[in-house]
Amino acid sequence: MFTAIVKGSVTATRKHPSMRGAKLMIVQPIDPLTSAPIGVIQIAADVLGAGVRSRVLVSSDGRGAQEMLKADQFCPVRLAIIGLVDEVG
Amino acid sequence: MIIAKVIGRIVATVKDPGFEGKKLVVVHAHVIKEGQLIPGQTMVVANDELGAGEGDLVVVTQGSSARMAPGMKSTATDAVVIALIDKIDADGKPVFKKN
Repeated sequence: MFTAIVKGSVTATRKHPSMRGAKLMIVQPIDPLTSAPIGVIQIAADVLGAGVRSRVLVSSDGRGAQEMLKADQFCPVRLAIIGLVDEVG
Repeated sequence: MIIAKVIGRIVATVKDPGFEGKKLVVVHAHVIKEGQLIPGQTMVVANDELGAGEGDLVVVTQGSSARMAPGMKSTATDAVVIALIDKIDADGKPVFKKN
């Protein structure tokens, strides 16, 4: 899992049916201690209600993403926001 | 699996229910170069059920295997601490020994 900052969202009318219940957020991976950006932006599904500029925890567990979206095994989503970060210490 | 050093903890109140009551640590991946253990490039957030503390050297498993660790079956995790390292030897020489 990695920490990231939410930069915005992506809207798509035509998309895989499993993504209907979720928002697709643009996330920039960051260093958890300094918040410095690391690498390239990614798209992650969100069912927790993460807002723009919030610090989040992202998991690449595709099965977890399926469960969060209540989708079947054919759901192609890999990244999902699994927590809103309060504190890193 | 990677060798990593625990450098902190993460607290998140709003989270997926599968993570309720589960501890999250920030780990910094390490590599062995010329017989020395040195910090690598990546930082990972991992679940920890072994009681790893700051400064501890651990083994982290990543990907879908992370869910195989005890207690992680219903957690959407992709990284889990699966061992607290006591000693590392490489090329027949000691690289690390826990105090």
